[in-house]
Amino acid sequence: MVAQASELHGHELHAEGHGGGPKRSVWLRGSWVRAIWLSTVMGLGAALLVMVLRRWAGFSPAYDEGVVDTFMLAFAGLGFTIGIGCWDYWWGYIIGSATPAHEDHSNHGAYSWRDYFKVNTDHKVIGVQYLVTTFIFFIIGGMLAEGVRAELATPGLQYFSPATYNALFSVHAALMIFLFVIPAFAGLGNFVIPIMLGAQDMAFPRLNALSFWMLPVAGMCMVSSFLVGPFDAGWTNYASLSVHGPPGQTFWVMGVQFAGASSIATAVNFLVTIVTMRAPGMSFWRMPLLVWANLATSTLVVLGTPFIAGAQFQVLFDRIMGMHFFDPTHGGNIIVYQHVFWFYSHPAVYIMMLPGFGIISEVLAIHSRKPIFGYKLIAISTVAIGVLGFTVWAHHMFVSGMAPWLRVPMMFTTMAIAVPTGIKIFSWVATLWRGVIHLTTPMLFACGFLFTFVIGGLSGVFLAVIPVDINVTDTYFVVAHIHYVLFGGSVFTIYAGIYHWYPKMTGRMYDESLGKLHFWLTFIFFNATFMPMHWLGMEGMMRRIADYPSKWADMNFFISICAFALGASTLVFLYNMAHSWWKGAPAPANPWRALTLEWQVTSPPPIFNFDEPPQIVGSPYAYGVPGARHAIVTVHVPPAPEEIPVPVALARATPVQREAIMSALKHILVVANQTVAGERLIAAVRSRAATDPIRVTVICPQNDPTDTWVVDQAAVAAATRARLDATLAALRTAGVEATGSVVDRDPYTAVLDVVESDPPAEIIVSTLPRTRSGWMRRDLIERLRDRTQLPVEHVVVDEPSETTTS
Amino acid sequence: MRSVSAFAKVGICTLVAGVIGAVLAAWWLPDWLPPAAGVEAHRQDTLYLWLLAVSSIIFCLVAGFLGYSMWKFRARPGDMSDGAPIHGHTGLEIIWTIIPIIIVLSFAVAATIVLNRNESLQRGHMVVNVTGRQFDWAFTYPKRGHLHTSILALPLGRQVEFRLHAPPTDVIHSFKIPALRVGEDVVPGTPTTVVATPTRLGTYIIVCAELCGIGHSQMRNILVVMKPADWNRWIAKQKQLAKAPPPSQSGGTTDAAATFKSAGCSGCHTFKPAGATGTVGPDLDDLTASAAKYGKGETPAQYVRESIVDPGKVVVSGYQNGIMPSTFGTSLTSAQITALVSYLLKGGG
Repeated sequence: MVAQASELHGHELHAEGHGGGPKRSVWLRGSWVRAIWLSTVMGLGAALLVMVLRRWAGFSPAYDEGVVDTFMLAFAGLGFTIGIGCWDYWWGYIIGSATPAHEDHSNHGAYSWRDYFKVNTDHKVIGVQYLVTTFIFFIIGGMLAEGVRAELATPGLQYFSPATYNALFSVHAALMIFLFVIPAFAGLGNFVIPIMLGAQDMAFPRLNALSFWMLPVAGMCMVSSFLVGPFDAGWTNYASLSVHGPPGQTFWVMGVQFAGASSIATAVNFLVTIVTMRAPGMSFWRMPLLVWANLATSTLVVLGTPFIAGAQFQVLFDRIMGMHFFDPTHGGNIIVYQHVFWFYSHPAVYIMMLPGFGIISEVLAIHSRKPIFGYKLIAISTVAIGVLGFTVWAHHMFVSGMAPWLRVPMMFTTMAIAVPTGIKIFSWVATLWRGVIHLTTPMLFACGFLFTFVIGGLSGVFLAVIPVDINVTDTYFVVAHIHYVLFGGSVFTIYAGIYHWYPKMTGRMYDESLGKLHFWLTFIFFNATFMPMHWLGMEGMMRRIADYPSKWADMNFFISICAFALGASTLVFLYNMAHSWWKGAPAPANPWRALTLEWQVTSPPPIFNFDEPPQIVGSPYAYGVPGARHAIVTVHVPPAPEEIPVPVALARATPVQREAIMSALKHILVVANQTVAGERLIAAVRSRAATDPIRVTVICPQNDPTDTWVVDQAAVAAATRARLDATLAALRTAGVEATGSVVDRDPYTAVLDVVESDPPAEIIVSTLPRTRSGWMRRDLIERLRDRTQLPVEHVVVDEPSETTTS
Repeated sequence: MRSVSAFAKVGICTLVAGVIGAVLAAWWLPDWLPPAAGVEAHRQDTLYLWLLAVSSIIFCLVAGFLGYSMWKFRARPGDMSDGAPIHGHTGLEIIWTIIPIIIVLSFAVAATIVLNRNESLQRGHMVVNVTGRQFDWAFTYPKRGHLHTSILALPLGRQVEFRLHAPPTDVIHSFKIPALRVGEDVVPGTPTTVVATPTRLGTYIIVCAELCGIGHSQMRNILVVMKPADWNRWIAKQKQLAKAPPPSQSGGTTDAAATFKSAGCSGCHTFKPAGATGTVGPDLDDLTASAAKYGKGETPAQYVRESIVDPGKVVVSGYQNGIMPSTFGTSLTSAQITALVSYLLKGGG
């Protein structure tokens, strides 16, 4: 997990501090120590200031729990992020302190385990920080759920008072949604997407760090609500129950604000990165589907999250400022809360689902060695779900007493959104057809997801039908539905993603048998826990009740036992993750033989991911075609000093030795005409030489059947010869045995000639970009692949034309 | 060609499995729902049937192809090859876009028709006012002289329009009767309505379906569906018990037992003589002992009276302040409170 440092680019490797000089005291520099004292001081200071102001303004009593809590939490939270160091650079910028001559990247990259506990601008470190933090809250939220199931195991109230019970499921859902599912996807995306795009980091690395550090603040707010009387109006927090609720309500509101801010900042980061930082050649239609998914999700986050922030602020203001947003005795309207809340919270479920869809597309294609079925339709349906997601919110409000005419249109839009979702499920299943399926743990979770998500989706269709919804809304049928789509849906995809990218993130392989055990335990006990809830709901068991009629005792007892087993299965996962990180087998760069960019770099990746921007030359799902590449990654590896360059060795060799050397070299055929002197091509060949000993034959086919505009063939041939010679010289200097000739044939026939006389192991074809290349227009690469059945690599050289032909 | 027929074979097998599943679901459905006790419920159950049938088919198709693929195309050990480079199939994609559109549109249209039928008010329907408050239901029959009752009784076969209210300072509740398959939120400040036509005699549960606080699980009541003649008799008897049309919520009678029920005490308290089993508030079965412990310097009667009109003054340990309404001092008459006090002290001993 300690990454290889890149030797080039002049990056200086400092563990701490800026460009030398004595380190400041731990109390004054960005650190946990400073975070703790600063947040305490700012929190208490804000509380005190508020009380002084209240006394001065004549409010009595000066201490009002809601008001004081609000300011204390806001400033303590802010103080924590200041203290830990998120704002240091910007502060230095604002006050005009001298900046180093160039960025020393002193808080970028994981050089030791300590870096994971500090402010770090490396998206890979932030990704891991997110994942570990969210799983801590997953465990806390899960334990709260076990508390719920313990109480529901038998009728009657055994362990918790009704108030505490209400708090258990409220905090459970709040943590799972805002502190687990949404940020876990942010974390996985954070790690993978910049590398997948060919970028060295996200667009705004410091903002990225701030986004992460707001998350523990949000979690602390919500969990510490138990100290003052936890919020107990459900995570949905309907007015006016929430307005009259215990002091923990304030903690929930402030927690949501921090989590929302974190989420929005991350989404902005994703959007800018995806739109502006894709590698050359990566058009939107060559983006992996995980990137599409995060593009749509980030749009939803940016547009929707302010609404839940607003709704919770309204509740807060009703509580602490005596406002009457939701007070019908003073002109307020209770149902408005639900409209504002659900306007975010419905897109929120797509925020919790779409990144998972992206993960599944990746995992299914790679582990079944097949292109994703219907790539364009999946990409379009992802965007469609994002857009339609804003038109269906009132399906959560069919019985709310809202304007009755709104129900039927909302039902139609809800039904509409089922269609793109169904298209995706069918496409994923079709991806498996005629694949070569490796049932690794991520693949098992992906297939398990397909099974459970189709059930969750179908129960959603039930709920969309208004008369049926009128019966089962607010019953255990809804609880079953939400857990099928959020656990069987989102959580299964999170597990799939973590297992799939575990080797890349940690540089270790996880234990496959433990992974499979984890999958089967989770799958079996998940279905056993939540399937019966469909029947409970249809029979009339309401949700959010602490006690129920004894006729449902047996079913509830069974569900509770299965729920405990489901919780226990998480322990297998946690053990596997921890133990494998410590002692697992070292992971190769590409254990899954995948095509996307993150698998073309080491495991774990170099600190700055790439030495130079990779070039994208094909689809990310081009499985099944020999030699098809998605991208060419060029690594700047200087030649090892002890190696004798091949041409020198050959010159000194006896004929027998020469025979031996030549037969040990892989023969690479390079085909280029106008681009033969391109630096890209030379670098690509050198890269090839770095991984295998090769000898290179370069041919420059001159005669293209449609090159009717060539006037002076001799001059053109001479110019090509000159370029070829320069290229051969460059290759030889780099230690690659290279010969070449200008050939007066068309490229297709020229290649076939060489394939007959001196068969190469691989072919590299270098062309101009697609829009300027005659060879690309004539589909040369695909034809060569079909005919020769050899791996054909395609290098794009974007150089201004130097010939007289254009 | 071989794989095309494999595709067709799997498709047909899963389709057949889906249809079998649909038939089984239709057969079992009555066991999965409470007996349909109303006209709206029957219409809804038809929708359930169609939903189950279509779901069964789609599920079997997806799970079938999924399971078959996982088995048939799994990699043999050491197989490092790639699968077939199939990027899509336009015909298939068109089919599985068009057919779901047809299916969901059909459901939406059918649902709209059922909804309109369920909610269209017919001539001669009756009106019942329902008040939901923490944590009890109360019912008023406006056309029967605003008769106020603590349980809901309805005549067989007559459409009822429930008009739902909550006190403006209360929270959202949801009035739901699973046997009738109807429900609607009860919102302070916004009157709502829900319509049902009971067609089956019997006793059914009324529940609260929206989290309303610590008494949410206890907020239950009873619906009794009677023959019209029996119902008329029941109404007459209730009228006798209530001496005059009440302006307040409590029924106006000084019959303490009736007041206890109609004021909603049984929603939160346990009191054996009234058959109440609520656990939101303290047990009232031994008020004398409670008065001795908490009512310093007061007679038990004074203590109990104070507990009714000013519940926040002394809170029994283990219970929260602010849950019990503090409005009984005005919503009940002094005579009612006096009757309640002696009823409570006598009952528990």
